[in-house]
Amino acid sequence: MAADLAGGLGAVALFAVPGYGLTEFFPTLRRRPLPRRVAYGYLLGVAAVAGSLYALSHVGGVPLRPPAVWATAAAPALAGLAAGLVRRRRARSAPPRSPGRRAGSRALAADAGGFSRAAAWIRHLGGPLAAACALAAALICLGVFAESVTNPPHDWDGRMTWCTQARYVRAAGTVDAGVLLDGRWYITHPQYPLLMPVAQVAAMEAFGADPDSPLPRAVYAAFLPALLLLIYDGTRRAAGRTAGALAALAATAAPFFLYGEGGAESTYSDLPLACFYGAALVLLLGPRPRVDPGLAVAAGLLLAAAVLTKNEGAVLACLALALGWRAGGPAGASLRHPSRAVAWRFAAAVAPVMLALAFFASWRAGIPNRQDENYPELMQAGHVWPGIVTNAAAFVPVMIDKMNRFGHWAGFWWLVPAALLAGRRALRHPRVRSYLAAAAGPPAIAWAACSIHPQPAFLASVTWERFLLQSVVPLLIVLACALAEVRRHLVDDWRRSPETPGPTAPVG
Amino acid sequence: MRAARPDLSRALPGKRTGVDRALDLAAAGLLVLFLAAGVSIALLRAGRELYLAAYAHESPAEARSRVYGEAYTRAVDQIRRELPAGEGYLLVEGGVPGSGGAYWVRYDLAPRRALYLGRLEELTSGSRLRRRLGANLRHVVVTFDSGRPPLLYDRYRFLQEIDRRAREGSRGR
Repeated sequence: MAADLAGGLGAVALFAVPGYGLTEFFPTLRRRPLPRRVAYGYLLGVAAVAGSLYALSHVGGVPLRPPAVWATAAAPALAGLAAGLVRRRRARSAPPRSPGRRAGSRALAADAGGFSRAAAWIRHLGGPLAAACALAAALICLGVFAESVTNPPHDWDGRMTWCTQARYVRAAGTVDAGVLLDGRWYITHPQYPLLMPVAQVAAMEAFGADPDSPLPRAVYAAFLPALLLLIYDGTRRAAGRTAGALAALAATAAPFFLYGEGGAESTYSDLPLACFYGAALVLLLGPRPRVDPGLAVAAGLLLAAAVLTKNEGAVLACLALALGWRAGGPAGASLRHPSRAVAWRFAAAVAPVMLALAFFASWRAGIPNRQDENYPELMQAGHVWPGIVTNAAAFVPVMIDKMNRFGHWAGFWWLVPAALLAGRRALRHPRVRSYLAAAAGPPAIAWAACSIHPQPAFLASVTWERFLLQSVVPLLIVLACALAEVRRHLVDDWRRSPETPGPTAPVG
Repeated sequence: MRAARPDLSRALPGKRTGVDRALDLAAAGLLVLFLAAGVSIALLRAGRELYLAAYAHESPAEARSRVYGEAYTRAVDQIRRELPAGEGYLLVEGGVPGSGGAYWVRYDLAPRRALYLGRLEELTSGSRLRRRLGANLRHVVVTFDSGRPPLLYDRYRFLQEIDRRAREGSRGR
């Protein structure tokens, strides 16, 4: 157990440490509290380390061996360390500023005893309910991590596609492995992007792991706490800390997110895609991007990772960019040249995505496709219309059946329509609408794919829930806003009721 | 500089009816039920996983035997020993289509490259199959349903086996 745990933690650190270094270059991310900074750092680390190795291997012919892995991981880590040291030295030499809120809270915590410190921590989290949510979520994440580092992969697509590709790439030492390039060999989805298999290879090569070691699974399991923290980050800004904590806990309450085919205990690329897409949305649609162009670069890097994680990542990246452009547009009036600033910010987010798309096109150009759905051909064959309507009769019942399964969702999809209907007034806010549009993106892709597929019911049965997983971040942010509105209604009603003895504590 | 924190959930006030109140109560009730059910299941499972992990003292091979089955893991290890990592093999699917058996064996034997020959029941003539084979691969791996151990054949023996099965089939008819 100890060796498995150490190996798993090492694999996670291989991406988290360089990513944490990268957050040093993005002031808004750097100022986030440590857990959330680490969460963004982990995502940026996977994007940077695995993405760089993917590109270096294809473009530069760099072998995917320990020297390349360690160099790729060390570069951002050391750059971040150097930038942090320079920043601290400058801060020391600068005149002291008036003590801020953080310094005040630190002093308060330092003055207090152990019990008071715990109470201050609970208050800082948002109260006992939020602290309980954090504790429960941490335990659940530990359980998922423990399962991951002690069992080999046992999911379907992980063994059919992602882990198999990782083994071929590791053995060949290149993402242009002969087995992918030669159309005779039996490979399922050979043109699927390889960011996560390359991340597996990096972890295995860095620690010289046995091919049967469950070590790469730790990389996938670590996406769960990252997901919860970025849900908390996005929701906390939109609906408050308690709502944020409850929304993050809700992500652990739906069994599919943890144990489903595509969840945290699997080696599918859907949870990583959900994280990259969701994190980019939180950065692009949050309240800060107009004053921090670096945040647009970070969002662009995350969307570039989404492009290289799954085929639908390209569509989702374009949707996120469009929503980000809309959110950052007219309200930039406080800047001197709003249109130019917004355009630069947009360009900063678009550039990494364009590079990723060009790179991905170059990589897959040499790979003959086989054992895969040929969607471009299906689209050309004119199946889109009327399939989008006629096929619905075949696949919609399957989708509803999947969402109704208590063992998969624990009633999550019974809650969603009720909450959105009850808290519908919250949906009037433009930013909530943007999140709603973002949440609709992955299911819309699934709907389109099922509409043109020759076996729509089968496709829906094996993919629909994974597309729902991909929209988890924006969906839970919207849901939290709606439920916060519901909570306000209920508290207002309770205050107005004649039996209420007197004024109550404020909500929030 | 602190970020502005507009509460997006704070909507414009409007007139609320009895239906709205019922919807509010339904949403709140469903949230409580969902969290109570989902979180308790997840916590119980997390506790079990932590307990199992704390007392697990297995090698990767032992963990594979536990998860994939002992006979299956033994057969895969045997094939790995006989088939060098750089060599390819012919893959034949003997199980029910969609059972995943061929995928799991291909994964377990990777990075050995697989050339898919087809489904076992569709291979009815050794000589016809010999003519179809483009690649000069010496080994054939036949996979079965999920969990059942795969079989390794020399190509020559496999083609003989195909002919023998075809003869038995025609005699049976």
